[in-house]
Amino acid sequence: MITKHILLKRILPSILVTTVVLVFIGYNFANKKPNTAQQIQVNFNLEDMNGNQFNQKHLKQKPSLLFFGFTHCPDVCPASLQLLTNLIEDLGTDADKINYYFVTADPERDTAKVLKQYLSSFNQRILGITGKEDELKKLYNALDVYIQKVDLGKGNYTIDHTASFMVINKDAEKVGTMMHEGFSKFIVIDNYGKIQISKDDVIKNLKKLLL
Amino acid sequence: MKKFFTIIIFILFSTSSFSSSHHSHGHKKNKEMDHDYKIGKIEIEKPYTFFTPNGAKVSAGYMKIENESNKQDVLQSVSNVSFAEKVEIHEMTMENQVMKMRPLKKGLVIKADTEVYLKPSGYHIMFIGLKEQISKGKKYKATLNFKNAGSVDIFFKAVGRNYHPDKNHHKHH
Repeated sequence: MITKHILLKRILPSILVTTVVLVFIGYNFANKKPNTAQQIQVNFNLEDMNGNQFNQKHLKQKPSLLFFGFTHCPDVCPASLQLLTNLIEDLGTDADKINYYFVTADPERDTAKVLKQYLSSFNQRILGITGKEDELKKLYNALDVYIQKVDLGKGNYTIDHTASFMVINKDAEKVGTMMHEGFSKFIVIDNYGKIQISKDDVIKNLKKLLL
Repeated sequence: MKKFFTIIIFILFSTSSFSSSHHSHGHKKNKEMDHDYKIGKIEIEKPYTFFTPNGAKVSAGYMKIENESNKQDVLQSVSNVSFAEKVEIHEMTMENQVMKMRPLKKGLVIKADTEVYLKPSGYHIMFIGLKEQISKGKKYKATLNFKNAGSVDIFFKAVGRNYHPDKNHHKHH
């Protein structure tokens, strides 16, 4: 009788309380939104192609699409800028709700002047960003962008670089990437090099993530 | 776990409507006019290069190279280019979203009875130190030097980025 009394009066309630607490925690965990975003918290000091300052505050004005490349890149960079140009046109009236950046991976050669001339061939909303290498590295690292200079001898070099777009919401959180053929189907290049996009899906996904 | 936290935008793509269309016009005669070239057992189809953005210092050339021989051949070099300071043969690869480009120092091997495509995001002829902009409607001369087949003069046609060589293609693959 004593045993039964203790069980009912002491152990059972604690088991019940524990169970309720565990269920409550489990319920909250299951309903909690997965933390998909990683916020850019680093402070950096760069400049745009018009000579204006560019820092972390600019990433909180509007959602942003960023591409990291260099003007001495013959293939993937101009192709990506052309795709971005097409995308901006396809966004229509929503195009102004997003900022577009081409951030150099090659500050040695890509001065503001060089970027401005180069980008004049693409949509005028695309803003070139350059600056000191150390400051650029802060932005590369914050977005998990891989940039590596590779010496080709005789003073020549190329740059290995992440070739996907970084998708940033207006809270400066990285919410996604837009990738190229080979690891996604944002761009599909067949044997002859034709670039294919299902633009409706790109637009739909971007709007869902950013607007 | 990282995958879980990364939203990837998957975009469906439509297959090319061009590749399935068969054009019966234009046969193997008039190769030059068709923008195709032949040297020995090597056939070069539709060399092209893209218009360059303003001030660009580099550009890339593309084509299809078919080796009809039962021996492998090697595109060892590209010479006789007046519009660039230097020409190299490059390979591009993508690993974990990272683009890497390297010169093929020993040239581009074209195995026996195979075809190799030089195309965006793959192999390309790299023009370094452009002396002029690649512009619409112009053709750009170069000499391809093969180990076995020898040398052949070709012209790269300057096209926009939406160009598709297969659009006017007359061979079925």
